[in-house]
Amino acid sequence: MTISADALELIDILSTEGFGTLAGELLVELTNGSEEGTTVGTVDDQVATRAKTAPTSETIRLEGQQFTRAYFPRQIRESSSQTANPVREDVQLRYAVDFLKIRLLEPLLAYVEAEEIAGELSSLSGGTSLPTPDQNEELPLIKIMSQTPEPRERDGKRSRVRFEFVDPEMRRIPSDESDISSDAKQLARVLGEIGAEG
Amino acid sequence: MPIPTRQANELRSILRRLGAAYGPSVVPSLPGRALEAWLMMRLARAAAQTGAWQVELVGSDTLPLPTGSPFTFAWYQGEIPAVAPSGPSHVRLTRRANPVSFELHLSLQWVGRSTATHECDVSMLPKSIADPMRNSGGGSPHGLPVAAFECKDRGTTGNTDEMRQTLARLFDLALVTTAYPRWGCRLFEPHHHTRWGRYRTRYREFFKAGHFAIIRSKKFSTGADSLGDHYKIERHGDVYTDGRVIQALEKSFTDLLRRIDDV
Repeated sequence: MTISADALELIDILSTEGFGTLAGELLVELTNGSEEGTTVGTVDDQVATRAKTAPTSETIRLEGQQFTRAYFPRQIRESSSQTANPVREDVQLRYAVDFLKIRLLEPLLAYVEAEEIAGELSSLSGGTSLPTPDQNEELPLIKIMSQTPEPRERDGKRSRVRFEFVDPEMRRIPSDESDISSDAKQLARVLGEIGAEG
Repeated sequence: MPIPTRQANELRSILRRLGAAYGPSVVPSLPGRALEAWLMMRLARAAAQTGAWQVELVGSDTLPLPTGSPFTFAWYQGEIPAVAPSGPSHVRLTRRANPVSFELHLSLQWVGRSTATHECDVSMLPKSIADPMRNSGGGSPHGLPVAAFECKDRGTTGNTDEMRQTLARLFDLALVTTAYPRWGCRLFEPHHHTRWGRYRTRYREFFKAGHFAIIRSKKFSTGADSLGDHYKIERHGDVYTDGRVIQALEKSFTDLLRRIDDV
């Protein structure tokens, strides 16, 4: 199968900028297809049988160059209840953008939200509590958040508690003070623009 | 057709900034850690919203974090650390009526009956169990968490094997057999043998009394659903794309807090 030039460029960007794991996963999904809509692993015997009969390697073509990609046994076993269904070349870029939204953008947005919630909780340490949600109401948290005065910093942004990480020797893992929320917003915009091109 | 140069350069810049912000050792695992951190804070906020629980972000010195201080995560699985000025933070939940406190931790190692250790991405234990350990140089709790959540930020469907792995850990952690006669409990700490929680004779009763779930960015197979249903392990798939999923998990968690004295 062929990986389109634009999808390959996206994979290259991920790989060279330190996100090689995601690049690899994306390449596998483009060549194997998505599992969505299947019942992977529900009938173990069937899966085992297919694993035995599945090919152990496949020749794929990138930018005109052919090479052989070996399957990992685990990958075969977990995804073999469906026939390999490579993503069509003309929709690979859109597929890759959707992949990055769920595997990179959404986690970044979740990370930002977690820091904001920590900011709310930190400001509540004096003993007050957030309003109780009405579980019968649709999307109660949105309503609650709109009713709850948001703690704000002087510059008008929602206050956040920054997360940091320590290694096993309790040494702080160096990181700078960049604004991850700004990066997440920019990433959403850029992925939207790239997806529109596809 | 190549990606337009401006977008390609912008994407490179964003990824480079993320790499610089969190370092090359952190970046590959950042999405997974983001899911764990998000889940922990959502559960903490859900507890605060009940009005019945006070929620505090607590530093490794066991004091509430001062305003402006960062919340520290361990970039590894580990024990409850000894009281120290620097180390991982946690969330403390204290019931306002009949005060009793619990702690939410990330990447905590628990010890099973086999003496093997098992990491729980997000887990909850009583402060009365954590304190003796942190005051005695640190340690891992033995037994079954009050609540434990596995976070799977992966591009694959959650299959039966994944559920089996979770169950295998929980089977080892459930103290259906005890080290000593009349030692029946849910969990204990190794230094002073402080015990907590009710003893049960069956795995399913142990699991049902607490709150256990797998949370993932994609779906679950029907096989994983069947196995999870039987052993009372909740599955919360598509957690990023369907807002009702995290709300359902929060509701289960606050239900647990309401019946915490029966765990």
